[in-house]
Order: sequence, then C-alpha cells, then structure tokens
Amino acid sequence: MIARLSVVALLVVTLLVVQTAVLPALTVGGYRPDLVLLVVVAIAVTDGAEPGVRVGFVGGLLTDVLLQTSALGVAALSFSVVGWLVGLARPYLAPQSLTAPLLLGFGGSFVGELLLGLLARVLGGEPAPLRLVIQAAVVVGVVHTLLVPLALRVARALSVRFPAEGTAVSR
Amino acid sequence: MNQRRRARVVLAALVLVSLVLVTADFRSDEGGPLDGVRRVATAVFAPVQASATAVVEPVARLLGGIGDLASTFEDNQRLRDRVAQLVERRRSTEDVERENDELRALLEMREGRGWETVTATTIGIGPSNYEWTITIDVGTEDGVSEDMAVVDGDGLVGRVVLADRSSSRVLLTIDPNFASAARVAGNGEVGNLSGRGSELLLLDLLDPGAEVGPGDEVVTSSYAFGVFPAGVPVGVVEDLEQETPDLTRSVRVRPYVDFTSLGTLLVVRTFPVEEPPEVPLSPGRELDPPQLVPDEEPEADAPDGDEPAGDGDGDGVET
Repeated sequence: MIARLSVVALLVVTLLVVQTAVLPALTVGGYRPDLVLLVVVAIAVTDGAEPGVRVGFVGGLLTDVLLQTSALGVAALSFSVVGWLVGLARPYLAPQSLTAPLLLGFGGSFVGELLLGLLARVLGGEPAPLRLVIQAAVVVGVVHTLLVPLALRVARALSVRFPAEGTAVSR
Repeated sequence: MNQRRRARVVLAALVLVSLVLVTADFRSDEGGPLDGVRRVATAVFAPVQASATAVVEPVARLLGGIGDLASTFEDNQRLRDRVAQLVERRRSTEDVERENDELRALLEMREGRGWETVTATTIGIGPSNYEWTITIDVGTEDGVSEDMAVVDGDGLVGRVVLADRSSSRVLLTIDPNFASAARVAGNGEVGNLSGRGSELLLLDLLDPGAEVGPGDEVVTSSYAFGVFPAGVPVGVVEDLEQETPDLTRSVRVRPYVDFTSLGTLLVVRTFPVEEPPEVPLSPGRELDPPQLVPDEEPEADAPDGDEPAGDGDGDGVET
C-alpha cells in the first residue's frame, strides 16, 4: 500500500512538472491538457471509484498548491468528484470495448475541467469568462480522448504491479 | 461495507476536507499558513521546473512549431500588418515627441532610464487553464518582492504576487485577477486595465466621452491606485468593447507582449516616483513649516516673555 502510494505520488509530481515546465509550448487553441486530471480518469477507469477519488484528491491538492488565485482545495474537490463519477460508470463498461474508455476519457475530462473552471469562478478571485471555461473544457476533453489509451496503459501497469486495495484490474 | 458505499464515504470525507481548505484559504490573510504552503511548493518545484525547462524546452518548442505549421501563413500576414502598424506608430510618436513634453518623458521611461531592475528567466507556468501565472528564477535574495512590475522588451508582463527566496510567481496582465491603472498615451485618458484570460485586455476609461480609437497606444499610469512605473507600454486599442450605462466606457486592448513565449524578463525593483506638482504660494507669503523637533531642550523655568511659548513664529499655533 505504501509502495503504491509512493509510486502514485511520484507519478503525479512528475506529471505536474511536465505540465508546468514543458506543456506551455504544446498548447491546442491556447489550452493545455491537464495531465493530472487525465491520470485520475485513467486510474478511475482501471481501478474504480475509491482509488479514483483518492488519487483525484492527492493530485488536485498538489495542483492547488501551485495555483495562486484560486482557493486551495478547488482542484482537490473537482478531481475527487471526477474520480468518483468515472469509477461509478466503470462497472457498466464492456471489458473489451475500445470506445467506452474513450467516451469516459472525454466525459471525465470535460466534467473535470468544467468543474475546475466553474468552482474557480465561484470560489476564486476575479473569474475567467464563462465562454472561456466551456472552450477549455471542450478542448481538454478532446485532447484527453486522444491521450486516454496511453494513460490507460500507465494506469493498468500501475494496477498490476501495485494493485489498489480490494480492486481487480479490468482488461 | 461494499465498494460503492465505501467510495461514497471516502468521497464525502475528502470533499469535506476540500471545503474546509477552501474556507480556511478564504479566511486566512496574506502571509498566513496556507500562503506558506504555496511558498514552500514554489521553492520545492522551482529548481525541478528550471531543470526540466532547460532540458526539454528546445524539443518542446520544435514540436510546438510543427503543431502551429498550419497557421504559419496566417501568422505571417498578421506579423506583416503588425510591422506596418509599428512603423506607423513610431512615426506618430516621433511627431508627438516634438510637441509634447509629457510624451517625451514617457518615452524616456520606456527606455528604462532610472529603473533598477533584476533580470529573470521564466522557468514554469501555472498548472491550470484558468490562471495565467508564471514562475521566474529570482526571489527575495535578489531583491524581488511582491507587487513589483515585470516587463520584457515589448512591454508590461505582470506583477510579482508571491516572492520566495530564489523564485517568484508572477500574475500576468491577461489574468482576470490582474488590475492596473493605465492611460492612453496620445491624450492621457486614464482608466482601469484588467485581464480576461485568452481574450484581449479591457481598459475601463474613467471619462465616457474620451476620444479613443483603434491603434491608440496604452501605457501604465501612476494615477490613483497605480503601483507600476508610469509609461510602460501595455498594448494597442483594438476596438470599443461596450458603452455602459454607468460612468465608464470600455475598450479592448491587444497586448504587445506575447504571453505564449515568455523568456528573459526584467523585474523592476525601483523606479523614480513622479513628484506631485508644486503648490503656488500667495505673493509675499513664505512657507514657514512648524518646528516638530525642538533644537534645544526647553528651560525648566520658562521666562515671562512677550511672545507665547511654543511655536516661536507668533501665529499662536503650538507644535
């Protein structure tokens, strides 16, 4: 359990460094993919709701401390809810389906980015325009859909080597 | 407890913790414990971000360039227009310079004379699509502190919002939380400049009847709440945003700075403050400020003099 926690924490920190140091040069329409949100969705698809909620909280909290104008806890709240929602939908997926994880990847990422933007509007300082929030959610959802197969590979490798408590990998 | 119910309990607990954090962050003052957490995070992440940026930036820029290939022709045309616009602006500025002392002083400020600056490099960017911040590699040990202006060769980039020992966070002018006093360089009309994310900046002019049009240059102002050196170029007026029923009028401003490729920057540590205008005195009346600190200790037994003790200037006002 401690080994899994350490590996997940290391993964999230690495993704945050990539996101803040490398991704500024790799934007799509002015918006960047949120790698932490992507890995939360992938882990929730692979391991279920509870691991999704936990990783969502830890990843969101680490994102929060690197934010400046939003209140601390906004990303933690958003990503936890996404982990739970995606994990809830997981039992209804056909195990061998190729499109279902992509749809979940889009849906989870869209909801996560939208939730983050809306909560930042409500709980932050001066809000970003609503049109911008919706644009960002759509772009992030589409980009994440393309990245979901790669993220699922990472999440499944993690789940095989360091299984989450009381879960089984769906393959 | 089945897995689904357990997940609900964990979610409820963590949502509660998140809400407590949000509330605590709202209620805590600047420099509180949660601000300290951000400071520590900046200090820990900054060296890693700097290393990662140095290693992968050339590759990332190359990949970014390939991704932008489709819009190259469009960019080319836009840049040609911009060059023409800049040439025109330079001509008009030179014309005004001969006639207007105020604008001459503005241009001197633009050249950075009298500023004490620190050179900084961008090492990271904020993790969210809804927050426009960067991390730079200078901090308090370089003389940087909060609220200092950050500029580059094109103009105003933002202001320092969190300064750690060797790194700082900068709120970019395009962030919705950014606000600054600004004025139209051509006629001195002042207003409040604010960011709107990936959209153009908004300048709320105080005078709704001000004559401002596309192409007018906008610079920072030291008027009222301005904390930046006056005369730093911000951008150019794009168009009229809206005519509001209240006493303001808004124009959209296209910033000079390209916020997608921030590299080497300057943090303005000190700048000359504009002196308030001198108040003319009435003829024949000299200013005699009251003496706040007596030169000599008063004698224990004050003599019964002709003048009242205290002010020494005969106006009867005690100091």
